[in-house]
Amino acid sequence: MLIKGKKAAGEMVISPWMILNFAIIGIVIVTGILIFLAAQADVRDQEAEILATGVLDCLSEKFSLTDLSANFIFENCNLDRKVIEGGDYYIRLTVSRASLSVSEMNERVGEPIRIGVNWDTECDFQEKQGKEKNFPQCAEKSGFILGKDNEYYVVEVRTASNQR
Amino acid sequence: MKTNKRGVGPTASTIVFLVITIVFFASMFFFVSRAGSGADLIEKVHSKQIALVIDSLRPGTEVRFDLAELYEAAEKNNYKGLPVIVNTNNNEVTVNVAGGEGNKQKFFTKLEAGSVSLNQEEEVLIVKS
Repeated sequence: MLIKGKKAAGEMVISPWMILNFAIIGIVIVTGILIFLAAQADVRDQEAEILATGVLDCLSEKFSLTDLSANFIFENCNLDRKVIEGGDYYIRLTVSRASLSVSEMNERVGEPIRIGVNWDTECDFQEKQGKEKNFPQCAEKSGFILGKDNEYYVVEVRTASNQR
Repeated sequence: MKTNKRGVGPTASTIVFLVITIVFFASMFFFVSRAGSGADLIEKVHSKQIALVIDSLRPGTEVRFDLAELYEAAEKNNYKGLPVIVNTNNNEVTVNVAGGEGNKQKFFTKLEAGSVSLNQEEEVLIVKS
């Protein structure tokens, strides 16, 4: 029996401290195990690589400068819009007109096309400072592509994945 | 154990305390033993592997996944449901070998409806792109 906030001998009283203790123990155990499992199966690097390779392969067959857009990528590269734009992926396409002379720089054509969450800052950071596990993992591929207008273009594809 | 006024049973607070303690430790035991049995890791690794392979598929190719390890793990955990479900509407692979929700992994490649089949006799998942 409780008398003025005091418990009788042997009586077990639920207190906020008990709940807090249980919560702390539970959170520590669950978090520890989840972190361990996540570290065992982190494939974001590979996902970013596969996505970049897939987009570049697709563009090497179907590249058309005039048609190039996010819609063009989704319609021609067999990518699911809902998943790519769902918050776990990023695609950036940069197109330059290829210079055939060594002394000339490739001329950038238009603005980069960005699809999904813009993770340029995180990718740039990792390019300079090395891999950071807490950031999305990035991949970059580039290639010379012959466009439908019979001109050569340099297409750079940057992708990032943060699907855990 | 403290009894109530009449001395015939435990007080309400003692019962609640015991219930909360038992539920807490039982759920911790379930969670840790499930993780310790490797079910979580198997589910996670296989769902990611399947999603990665689907994303790597070139159009016009077919891939067969050997699911023997998953069926074995499901049997060990007395799980009778399908160990792998590939949902082409949501672009999601679900691997489940111990009941519960299993592990879900998204893939970004579009698959046609009917391009995925599960052969339960041969324990093989077939995906056509």
